[in-house]
Amino acid sequence: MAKVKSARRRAQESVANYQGTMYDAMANEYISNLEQQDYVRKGKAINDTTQLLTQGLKLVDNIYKNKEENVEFEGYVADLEGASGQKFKYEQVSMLDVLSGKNEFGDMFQEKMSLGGESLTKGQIEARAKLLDPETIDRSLSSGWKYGDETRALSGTQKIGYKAGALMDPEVADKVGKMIYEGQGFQAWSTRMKVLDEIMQSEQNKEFGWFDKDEQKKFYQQKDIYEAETSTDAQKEAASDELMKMFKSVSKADEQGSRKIQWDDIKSFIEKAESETRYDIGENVDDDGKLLSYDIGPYQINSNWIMQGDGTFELTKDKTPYALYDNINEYLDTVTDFETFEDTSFYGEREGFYDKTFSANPLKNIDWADLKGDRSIFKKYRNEDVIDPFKTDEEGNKRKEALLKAGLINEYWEVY
Amino acid sequence: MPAWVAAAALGLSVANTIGGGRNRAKASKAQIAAAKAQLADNQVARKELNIATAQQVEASEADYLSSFENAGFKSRTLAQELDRNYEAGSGMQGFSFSGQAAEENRLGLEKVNQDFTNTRKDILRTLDKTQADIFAFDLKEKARLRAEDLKLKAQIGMAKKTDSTIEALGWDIF
Repeated sequence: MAKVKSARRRAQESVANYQGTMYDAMANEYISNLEQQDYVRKGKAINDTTQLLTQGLKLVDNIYKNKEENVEFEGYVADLEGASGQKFKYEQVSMLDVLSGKNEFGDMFQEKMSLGGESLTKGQIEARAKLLDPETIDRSLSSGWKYGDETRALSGTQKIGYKAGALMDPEVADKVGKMIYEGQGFQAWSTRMKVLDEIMQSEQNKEFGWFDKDEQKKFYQQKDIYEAETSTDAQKEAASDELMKMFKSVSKADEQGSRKIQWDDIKSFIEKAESETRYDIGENVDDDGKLLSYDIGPYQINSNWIMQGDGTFELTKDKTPYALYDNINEYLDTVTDFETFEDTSFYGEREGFYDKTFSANPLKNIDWADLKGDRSIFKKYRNEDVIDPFKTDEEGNKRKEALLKAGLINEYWEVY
Repeated sequence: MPAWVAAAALGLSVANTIGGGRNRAKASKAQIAAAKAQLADNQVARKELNIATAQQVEASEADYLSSFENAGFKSRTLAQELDRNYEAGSGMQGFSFSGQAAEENRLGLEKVNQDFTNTRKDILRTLDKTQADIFAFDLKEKARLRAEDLKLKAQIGMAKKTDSTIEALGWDIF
């Protein structure tokens, strides 16, 4: 028989059941809130993901556009190089440049561009390239520069930069000029025709009698043949040979060592023909317009006298040392006896940051001096006094400016 | 702006988003663990509640028996007292008063019986009230625990939707 519950108990159970439904209702409200929050979370997640994807797509688009612009710009550079025969130089300030003290933080990622020593902006290069007559462009002359390729100076060439600067000093140029004049001869100067013309007509010639009337007559005859448009190639070649003999005779020493014209007498004629100021820098280009070398200073002394390697005067054709080159450089070494910027292509204590052959202990293989101490990468360019001996020298700075403008050296006197 | 800055900004955004997702997933896992622990606690609470209810019922019945025995004892004592008085009175007063004394004795015994009946009803009411309260508390607590379980299960269900980085980022739709 089922147990009959009392009225009180049924009443109390009803109250309890009522309370239970309240608990259920509160739980359902809580669950409903949870579900609402979940919907909001889902919406936010989708929004965040969409934003991220949009940002990524924008980046890809920017990279693509940048690449397109860069390729376009490379074309402008190639056109300008092809039309001018001059080499484009590009440098960008990297983060390491800033950390090592070479550049200020504000200059980070700054681009420097120049063509033939003239600083230009991207816009200027583009504008100039667009103004070019397509007929004047010879793309075979372009260097094939790719956007971002930095033009770097040759490591350890600071001494050569100093020598280039020294060739602008009147006294040094005088001595080197004399060595070339007496060692190689008057024909070494490209303005020899003009110089000889001036000498022939000069008061000094009348005074010292370097060239008599017959010699003058012969010179002008050959000169006219050589310069006349109506002359045949054979006639021009014969005239050139005759003129070359005359040029050589100017500086050729006889058995007693005396010359038709001494250096001290001819140097003013050469200087007048070659340069307007002692800071002048000229360019020697081949038939294709490619830059071969520079002429420096009042006597426009060829940079091949101070450069090293192929194409310079360091070695003769049969690869033996050229005595005149050695003599010139021995002398220049004495006048450019400045401290040079130490080659820190590797910083720290040894080459590279990590050398696994150094020790069995991986930690000892790390060159910690790369990161701390005076030889760290962060100190590379800090000691500017050593880098530039002419920093407070007005004369030196003028020379440096001229060499920089010509694109022969970088700001640390290193040669490109 | 150099391209690397935009790339770095995107990298930071991605790292930030993924980092946020990872943290969210960790928080969800912790939430699931806590909710599961609380569910287990509720289960223990339910067992404890059953034991407590049974013990309270047992105690109320013991109280009831004790009170009932006390009332019975008291009524029996009163009835015996009435009987003794009646027998003694009827012996001394003679036969002429015996009918009246018997009537008085009967009325006295009826009253004692009535008192006992009333007391027993009171005791039973008290027992009923006590047990009704006990069962009501049991029901309410079980309902509360059931509702708590519901909430905790819902929490676990929601947290499971975000307990991995991919899910927390909402990338599980791909």
